[in-house]
Amino acid sequence: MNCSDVLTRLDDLMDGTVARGERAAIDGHLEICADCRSEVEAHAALRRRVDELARSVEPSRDLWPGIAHRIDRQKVVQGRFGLRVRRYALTAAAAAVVAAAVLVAYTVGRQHSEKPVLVIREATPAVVAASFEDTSLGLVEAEFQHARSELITILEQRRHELSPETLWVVDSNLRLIDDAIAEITIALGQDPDNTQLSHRLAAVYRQQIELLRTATGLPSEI
Amino acid sequence: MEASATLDQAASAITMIADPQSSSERLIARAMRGEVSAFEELYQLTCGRIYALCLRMCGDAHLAEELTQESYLRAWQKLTTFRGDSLFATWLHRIAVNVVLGHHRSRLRRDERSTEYGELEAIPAAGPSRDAGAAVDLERAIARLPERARIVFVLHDVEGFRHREIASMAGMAEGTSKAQLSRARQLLRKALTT
Repeated sequence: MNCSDVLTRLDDLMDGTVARGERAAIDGHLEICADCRSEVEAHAALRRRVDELARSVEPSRDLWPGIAHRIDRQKVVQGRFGLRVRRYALTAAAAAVVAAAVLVAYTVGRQHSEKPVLVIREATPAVVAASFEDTSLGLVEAEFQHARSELITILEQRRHELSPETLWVVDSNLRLIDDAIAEITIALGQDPDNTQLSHRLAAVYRQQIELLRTATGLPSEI
Repeated sequence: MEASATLDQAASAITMIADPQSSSERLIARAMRGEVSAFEELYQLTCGRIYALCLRMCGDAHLAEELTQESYLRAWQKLTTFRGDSLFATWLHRIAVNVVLGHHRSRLRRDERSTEYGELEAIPAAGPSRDAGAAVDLERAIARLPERARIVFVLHDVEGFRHREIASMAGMAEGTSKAQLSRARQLLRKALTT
């Protein structure tokens, strides 16, 4: 055992992952080598300082109101999906999941010089309007949730096949659309007879489904 | 009414002190039934540690606040999947680690620029270490580590995760985790002694 051997095992020594026989050899070297002893002591001193760090650090502001607000928004969405939304008349529930493509997120290449590209295209009013006739928003919502759940499952299974760039675009836009759904739902709660808002909500549902469909249909990038 | 509420709070606090484990379990059970107030109590009990984890992993106080909030929101969303086969704090830590790592991955891709190499000499000296100032110096030095080295260091040396776990969570080879830890320790020693 020489200095080089000891220094390459320094981290293992600190982490207690050196085999017993090897540990004895290292200890033997440390007895006769002041430089290595000094190295070991310096590492141990760092470890002691790390162990003394506070386990808990208070943030400079109360973070709970922000968390509570976001939880509330989700609850409004869930409540709306479950109850109040049902009275709105829409077309076939399937319309929410088979509408024309309105949002496509994709990345072009994975070279460092190219950033993820996001393309958003609004749904045509005709497509949106056609979906609001005689089916309850509750049914559309049920179909939406069902399709969304299936697609999310597929996306989760495929995550390892997609590049981080693509995943970033998809995740960012899923969050944006979730926020939009929450905002529209809150507005509908205050103005439940507003058909424009209902149309808008259905359109955003479709945007999310189309985004998920596109993401789950992308060829493997890894 | 107010007196009653105060008494309830006092009783809750006494219960918590007497039997923290079962109190936490009760809070978790209530939160899983959708009681936001119970989840808030869980937040109050754990936020300091989750914030510390986020702060040390990302090295930025403002970002750490956002990531802490995101972690609790994810925890709320996933609460029904908590099976109780691990401690709630451990489960929550995992969520926070994944939130920070997810942000790290997204940011790395967005920025294009890599901060992973050529920074061995880049950590400014933290200054002389004395008593309370020593911890501050160490915190600053950790915050200035290159990102991957900092993440591995915090997860391994501060939070106690194993290389195998870090490799799995961060999507890196176990050997890479060990190399980053070694690098972080060297950089910290250098920063703290210069």
